[in-house]
Amino acid sequence: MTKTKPARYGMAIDLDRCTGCGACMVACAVENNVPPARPEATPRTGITWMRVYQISNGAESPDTRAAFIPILCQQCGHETPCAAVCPQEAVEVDPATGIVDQMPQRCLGCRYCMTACPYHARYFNWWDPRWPAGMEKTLNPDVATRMRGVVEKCNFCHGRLHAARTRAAAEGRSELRPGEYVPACVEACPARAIVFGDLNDPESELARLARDGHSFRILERLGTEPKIYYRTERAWVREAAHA
Amino acid sequence: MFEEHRGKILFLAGMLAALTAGWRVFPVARYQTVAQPVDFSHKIHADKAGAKCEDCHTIRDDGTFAGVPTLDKCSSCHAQPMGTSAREKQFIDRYVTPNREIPWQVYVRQPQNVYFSHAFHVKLAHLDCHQCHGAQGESDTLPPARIERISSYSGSPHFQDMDACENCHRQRGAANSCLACHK
Amino acid sequence: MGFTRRDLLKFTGGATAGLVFTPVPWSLLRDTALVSENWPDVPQPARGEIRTRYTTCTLCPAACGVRARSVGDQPVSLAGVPEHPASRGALCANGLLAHQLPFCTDRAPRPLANGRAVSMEQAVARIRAAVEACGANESVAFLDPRPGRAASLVYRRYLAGLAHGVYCAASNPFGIDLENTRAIVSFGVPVLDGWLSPGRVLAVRSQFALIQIEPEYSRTASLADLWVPIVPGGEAAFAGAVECGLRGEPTDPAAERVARMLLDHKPAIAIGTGTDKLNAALGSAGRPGGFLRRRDVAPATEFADLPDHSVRVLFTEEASLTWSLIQSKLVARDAVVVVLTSWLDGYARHADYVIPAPLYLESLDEAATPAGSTVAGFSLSPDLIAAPQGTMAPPEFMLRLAGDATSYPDILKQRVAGLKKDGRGSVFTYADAKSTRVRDVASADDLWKLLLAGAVWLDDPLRQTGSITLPADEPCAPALHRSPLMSKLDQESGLRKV
Repeated sequence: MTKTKPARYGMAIDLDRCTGCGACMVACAVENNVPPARPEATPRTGITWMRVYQISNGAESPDTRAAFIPILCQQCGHETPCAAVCPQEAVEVDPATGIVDQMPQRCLGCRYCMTACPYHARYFNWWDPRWPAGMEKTLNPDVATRMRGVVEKCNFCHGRLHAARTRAAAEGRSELRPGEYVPACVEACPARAIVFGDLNDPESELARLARDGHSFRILERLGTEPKIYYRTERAWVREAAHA
Repeated sequence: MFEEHRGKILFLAGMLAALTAGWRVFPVARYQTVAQPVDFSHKIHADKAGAKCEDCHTIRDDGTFAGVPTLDKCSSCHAQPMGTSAREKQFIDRYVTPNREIPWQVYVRQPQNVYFSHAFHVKLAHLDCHQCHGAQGESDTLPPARIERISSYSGSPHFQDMDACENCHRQRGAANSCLACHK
Repeated sequence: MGFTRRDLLKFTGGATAGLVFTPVPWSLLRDTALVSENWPDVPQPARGEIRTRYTTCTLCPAACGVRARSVGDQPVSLAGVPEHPASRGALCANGLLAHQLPFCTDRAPRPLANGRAVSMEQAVARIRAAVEACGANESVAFLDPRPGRAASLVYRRYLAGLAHGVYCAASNPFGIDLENTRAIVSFGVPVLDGWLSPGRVLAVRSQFALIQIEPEYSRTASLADLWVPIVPGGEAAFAGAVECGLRGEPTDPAAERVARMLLDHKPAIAIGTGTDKLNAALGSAGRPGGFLRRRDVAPATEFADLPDHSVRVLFTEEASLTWSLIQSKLVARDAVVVVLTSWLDGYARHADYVIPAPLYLESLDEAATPAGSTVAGFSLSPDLIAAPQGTMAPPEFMLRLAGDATSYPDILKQRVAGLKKDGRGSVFTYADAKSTRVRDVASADDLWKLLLAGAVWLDDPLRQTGSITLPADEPCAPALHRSPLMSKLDQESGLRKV
């Protein structure tokens, strides 16, 4: 049986293009059946697999400027902290894709992984998901809903990976062509700020962007080898991300 | 003699009763059997109509599996009776004439969090329908579906849980990570 | 020998020991775990065939192309249409959630008269009576937030049949050649945060210098190349100072800085309140990188230009202008406001009559020229799901009020037939991203079918001749209703509202 080459999917996010519009946050929630907030939800207890943060250059008005940083699971590739601490083996790094797989069905809700994640990219279902009456009809059939008591996080839109692979299989292909599989946030960004691809493919746009001098990773010194690269030509943004 | 070992005999009797109930009664009683709404014969359609599996159970262009065909597939031939059997007449009266979709029971209904792709198994792994579905294609009647009483999950004899899937995947070196099959 | 309690205990003990060696406890454990993972009130997605359908978003005048991924007929996610000329394949956060709007709890479900439910017939009768009761110096006005549609034609015709009907809309026969602009000085316009189609603006962001003149540290100000925080109301004065700077006269240092940037990055345009003179100084009308005239709608009256307290009956769709401005034009007593809307908030709170309208995904609607487009445009916005009982599309209601039996889809078909007859322009079809000249489309019926499947008609560019007077104001997008999932943006992330 043909085996596909292992991929290492990653992203390069251009912070100079991001306007903080939140289309990526919304597209992510729609794709992954993330429920609307309860009235009691706060930035700490809400579920936002993709979250855009706002930082400031700290200058006096009118020289104050902002930058917007979309944070999602960084898909750590080396000694993945959440995978290392999970007592249930509900987190696994998929060798075929490099994606850190989170299995909400195995999760027992201890939230140890949330503590371990240096990027605060994991979210807990404090409440049962509730949609306004009738809105369940708009749920995405390619993603399972979760119930309260389990942790969930970005998995690079695995439902889309399934769908892309299925479509390729229908044509007899086991390899995906570049661009055939993109997560929802990548497709939705009006500024085209997010580039998605396979870091193992040296010809891919992502691999080239990851190699150049404007790209950096957040908290690189921790050595978790995240697969999300951020790009900026503004020195103050780069310094803020390293702080 | 019985009085001497009364306690032990009763204990063993209890064990025996439990073992019998657990291995013989429980595996049958835990499932609810639900008959299919239409007494369909694969054999007749294969023999007389020359139909092959993929004529009705198609994989669409986007790779998704059409599953059990919708009524229009049946109506395309059975708008009028094709034979003389009573079960065909009943089928036409109940479903074709009022244009009502047949509420088929699914034998191996996947839970919401499982993603099974016929496209991978048929088009990439080149598995034959019989390898998983057995002699279903040659049967004259449809077996009843088994539904587990407590969890309402499908209780197919071969595919109880993911062990059967995992074993085959391990043997063939296919994808084995969690999200390869789970949503 | 009786069966004692001790016997029972022994038997039960044996049974328990035996059970451990059967599948029973493990099956029961597994099944109860499965039950606990499938509580009946946790929603399950529907299963069905996945289809792709196309429509055009009409939540705001940008008219972005929409590709809907549907399970059967129900859209489950929306995305942009790749290579769409106006929207460049993107949707904004509001557009991405439009398929959830039908389930928001604020829907206007039935006609209301002064807050009480009435039948559609009663509403029609009472509104007709109000219109007939208009006095000599009183007018009936329709405030159209999206002029240029076939619906707009319905409204004009209705008003033309009255003694004192006036059609009000922001008329803007100019598009913006954004792709060739090198500087934009914006007086309060949210350029990066809800202006035109975000896909189009952000595709060329790196090509122009953005100067934001605004009292507030808005999203656009926080990302602009230069932000000048002026005093509220000081736009005209500052624009005048920038004109001085352009002429080389000494003026306010901030204005000089702005003028310097505009001179260094040509061609430049000015947008927002009170920029007509500044645009004249920049010579931004009728040239590449500036405002280009397009073949467009018949002129209309600006609502703000109506005499105060002259409107007896006002019709409007959704909400656009501030309520205080509207109130200033209404007669002091017995004014009647009819709002044709999907929502119970917005103008519905103040209006006398609320006529519930279906949402854009629920009715066959149309989009006129996409905001900012350099050529006239037209697209259909086909319905993808059924409209709730009791709603009526605004043009259908106005036709009913006029006693006109024509159906709105037939009027749309007439409009499309007119496009085919004129033979100008081309049609960009969403499904295959191809452009076909209208001349090469076989018939009006074929053109209708193309548009109904998801397409946008765009005119040929107009030759820019003669002098051009630019309007003073930038038309604003109407207030948008928000899906509960917008909670991601404000409550759960702390990110400012879009």
